Amino acid sequence: MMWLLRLVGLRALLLAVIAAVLADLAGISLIGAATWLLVRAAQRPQLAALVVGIAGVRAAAMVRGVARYGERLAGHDAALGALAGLRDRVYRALASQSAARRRAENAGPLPTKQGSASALGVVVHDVDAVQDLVVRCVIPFAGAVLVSAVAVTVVWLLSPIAGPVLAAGLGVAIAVVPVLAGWQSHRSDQLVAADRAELTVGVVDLFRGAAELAVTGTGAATRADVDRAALGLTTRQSSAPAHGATAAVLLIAGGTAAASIAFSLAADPTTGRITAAVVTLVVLATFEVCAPLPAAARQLARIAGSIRRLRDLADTPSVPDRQDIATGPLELVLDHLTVSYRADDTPALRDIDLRLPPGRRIAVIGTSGSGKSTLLATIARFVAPATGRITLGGADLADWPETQLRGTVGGVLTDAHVFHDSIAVNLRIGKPEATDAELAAVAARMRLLAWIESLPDGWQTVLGEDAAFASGGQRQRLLLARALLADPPVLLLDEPTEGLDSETADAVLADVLSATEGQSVVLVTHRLTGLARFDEVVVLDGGRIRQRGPHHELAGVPGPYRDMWRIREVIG
Amino acid sequence: MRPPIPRPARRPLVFAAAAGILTGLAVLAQANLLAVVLANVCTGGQLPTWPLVGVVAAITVRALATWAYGAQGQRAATTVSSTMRADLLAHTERLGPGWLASRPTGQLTTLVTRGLDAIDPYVRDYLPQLTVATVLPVAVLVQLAVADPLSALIVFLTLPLVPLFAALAGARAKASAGRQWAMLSRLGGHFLDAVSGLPTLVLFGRAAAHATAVRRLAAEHRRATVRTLRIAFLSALVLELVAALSVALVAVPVALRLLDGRLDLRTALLVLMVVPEAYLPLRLAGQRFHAATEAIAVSTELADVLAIPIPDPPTGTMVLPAKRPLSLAFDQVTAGYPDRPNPVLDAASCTAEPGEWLAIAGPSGSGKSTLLALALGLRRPTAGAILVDGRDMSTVDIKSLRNAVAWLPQRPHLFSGRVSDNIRLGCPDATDRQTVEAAESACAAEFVTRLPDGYRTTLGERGRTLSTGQRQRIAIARLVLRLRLADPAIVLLDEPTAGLDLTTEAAVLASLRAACVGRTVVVAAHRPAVLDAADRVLVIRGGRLAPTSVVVPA
Repeated sequence: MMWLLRLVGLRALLLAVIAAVLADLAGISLIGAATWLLVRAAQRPQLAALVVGIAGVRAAAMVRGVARYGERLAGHDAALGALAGLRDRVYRALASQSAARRRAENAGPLPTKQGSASALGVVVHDVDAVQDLVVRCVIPFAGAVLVSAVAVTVVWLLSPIAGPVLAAGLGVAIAVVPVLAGWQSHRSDQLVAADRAELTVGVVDLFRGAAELAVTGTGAATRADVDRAALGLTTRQSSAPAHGATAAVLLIAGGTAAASIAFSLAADPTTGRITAAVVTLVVLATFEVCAPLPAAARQLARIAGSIRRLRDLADTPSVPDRQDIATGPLELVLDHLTVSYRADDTPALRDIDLRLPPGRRIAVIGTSGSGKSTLLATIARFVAPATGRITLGGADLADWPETQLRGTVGGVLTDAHVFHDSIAVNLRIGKPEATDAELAAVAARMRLLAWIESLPDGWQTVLGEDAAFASGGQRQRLLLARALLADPPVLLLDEPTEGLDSETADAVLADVLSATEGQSVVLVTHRLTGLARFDEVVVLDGGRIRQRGPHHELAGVPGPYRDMWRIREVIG
Repeated sequence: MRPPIPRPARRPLVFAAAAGILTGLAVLAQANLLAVVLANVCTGGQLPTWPLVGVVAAITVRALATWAYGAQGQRAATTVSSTMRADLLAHTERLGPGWLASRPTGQLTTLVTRGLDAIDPYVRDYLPQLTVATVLPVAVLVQLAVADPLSALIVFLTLPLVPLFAALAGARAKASAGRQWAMLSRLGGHFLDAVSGLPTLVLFGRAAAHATAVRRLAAEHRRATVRTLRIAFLSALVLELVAALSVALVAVPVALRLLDGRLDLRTALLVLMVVPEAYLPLRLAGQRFHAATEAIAVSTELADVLAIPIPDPPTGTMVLPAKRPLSLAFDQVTAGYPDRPNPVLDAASCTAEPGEWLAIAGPSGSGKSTLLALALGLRRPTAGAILVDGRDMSTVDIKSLRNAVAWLPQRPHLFSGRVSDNIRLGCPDATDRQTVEAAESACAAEFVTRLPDGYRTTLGERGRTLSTGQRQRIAIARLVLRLRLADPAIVLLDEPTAGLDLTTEAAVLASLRAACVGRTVVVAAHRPAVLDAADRVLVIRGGRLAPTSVVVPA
């Protein structure tokens, strides 16, 4: 918890809590002052004796409204401050983790786009949950504790009889009831979550497997499973302990405290009559402050998991980068490389040997699942080899310092991301210090310049998921231009023409090949066009190299490579 | 649109509203009794026992009614959302597997499972509160009018200010938020963008440097949001002020009249305690209004799905002869998709005879899978006819057609459950031995036996995830088992060896050929080995089927 409070920024949080306390105290004072005013007025004193009371009532009313506004604003400011601090912290933790991933064992298969998207969704959701923590949990609890302390002190001073009773009642309201509410919510949430998971699994089967269920005539059973799961969830939800229960307990606690205080004060001859009335109503008003606490406790129980995950994430130590190492000519050598995502599974790559001297260009082809993307991810050090080794410039790839490696090996991998920012910013990810002239030059090389200049906002046009490229070709060209701008000595390209129609794909590939003349390139592709321009073509199959050699050699001998060409001629 | 309230939910809703009103009335009773107690105490009288007991009783009633309010509201909420879920499931069932199979279902799944949660707070907290907010202020006014007409008048005049100011401030906040929304959403989304782009940033060595941008934009997001909130919270400020000032507005004249002896203390205390209760229900309803906005969004999304017209159910009645060879022919078949200008299949014709492997080749998106969906009755052609055994498919009983067909989809779905149950899909009576043999024919046995629990390994969401090639082999095992046990006459294969290496592909093709002897086989493919295994290859070009000759391997 402390690490979170540090993130929030003590000043913003303090401000919000002070405003909350002020608002609550003003509300209680309003009742207290008004009661005093009425009871005193009933004694028919001079009007002057009431002036203080009248002023007090008006002041308390104003302060309550304004302080409540201040509390809301300061509370959200504190929450957003926590959010900002946490985003920074979590981003840095994730960044150093993904850089350091290769040092650990491979945890699992290369995250697919969907898989990693849902993992990211969890992180983003967790970070957002912290806003609720500040506004709905921390501030109400801190406010209730402080207000209660003040109220107990004042009431105790007014009446030593009422003080302890109020303290006991508030203890129940602040400590016991919320803990019960949180525990109860934690339990029922877990059960509901299990029921919901059951339902989700069934619905996914019912929807995604709809055609297979229909054709095999087995849909009724799955539908019955879903109905059963839905019924289970409904029953569980509607029998979940009602929110009203904790509110009822709070009411009884407050009411009992107020009634017994009224009773004992009335029976006590030493207590002033005015004090008795004021204290009774003040006690009732103080309990109102505790009304949001059960909901706060429920919320806390709900986001406890998020907070735990974030703490674990933020606790990951960042590893400082090493000194640059001296290297020879930047030849990339893969020596009996084997990669496994899971110990008990068939390796994704088996016994791969590959040499890429400076300036050589290799094309890797193969069907989906043959290990092409794993090969590039391993060379980019996103995946660690199980056995065998990779050397670059004579040094083991694992020994390369992060910064030096990223300046040497680059390109476009499968998960290349277009940022929700301007075209210029997107390109400068590749080379932050690039001049406008350099941007224009690389855009011209990838035939993007005319398009960019035709846009109303030109280089400042904002891209992103929802920003429409004129075509998929432009997206790929932009990703390639960014990689070319970075100009790494070893360029890795994973399906740079994926998703393009064949004419566009051929045109983009031709442009890339012309632009990378003399550079070391490993290109993964499922298309056969342009392979004659590579020094070597490698055919991967089931994680092994099945065939290798220049296009003109492979095309002349029977084998998978020639089969692919044969079929391409037929299908087109 | 607002979520429809089904009949079974109305009773708990009425109970909830009644409990809410009862709570308010108990508060009034409590105020009356407490006023008697306090007035007696203050005027030096004896402590009246019965009113004090009455206060405790009123508080107990309040507590019970509050409990009932929560419980009944929750029951109503669950009834509403479960009815909506059932409606949605029933409608998707009527829309049929063809509809579901032709679109991504992620959003629909979310709607059925998590999306309907947004309905709960609307029904539980907002709807009953709406009734309470219209009834209770009136009750409070009546109570005040009886006790002290002047105070009643002050409350009556200030009460309408609550909804009025709320609406005014709300409109102002909405306009301001509308102007800033684009910027706020961009600033807010920057973190997600940066995290999603992390692999790219790492690759370019920019991950550490980008942290500065994340920090800067997060701080900017905070400033911009607080600027918007300053206005958005004005409505709450106004409501607080109206409620608090009204207490002051009422209390001061009451005190002055007490001074003159025109009012007794009991009435004065009663007025003081009752006045805030007039504003409370309106403020609560206002606080819960945002629940309505979310519920309306979800229920609109749901209504959009329910509005999709249901296709006419298949009317064919002719029962196909079981366990007999059947030919499959496409006669001038045209079919397309609403989002594409040209039909995918444009008067395409071909015939597959019993005992023949007919391969359909063509680049992805050319209509191979559409052709198979038509043969399965998952889609209907816009023109032309599909003939089974020479008979128009639309006259054939769909159940008997599907009994005669085995199908391997392009992306087979593995159901959550055990490996063996997945292989047995459609053949629940298969023995363990038959299941294992089918897995062996599909080259699946070698990896299944290495799984921690072998054939009992659980797959899916809560179980083991398999690679594409492994999934494909499980699906092939499923197909082989069906071929052996159900003996279907027609076999439709969609890229049967996708994700398999060449050695496995050859073995799987040999098993499939053996299992399909005498059957009518149509296979969509673009891999060389599959085309080579076919007796005849047709290519889809421009929506039509053209004969071609695959060069005989050297």
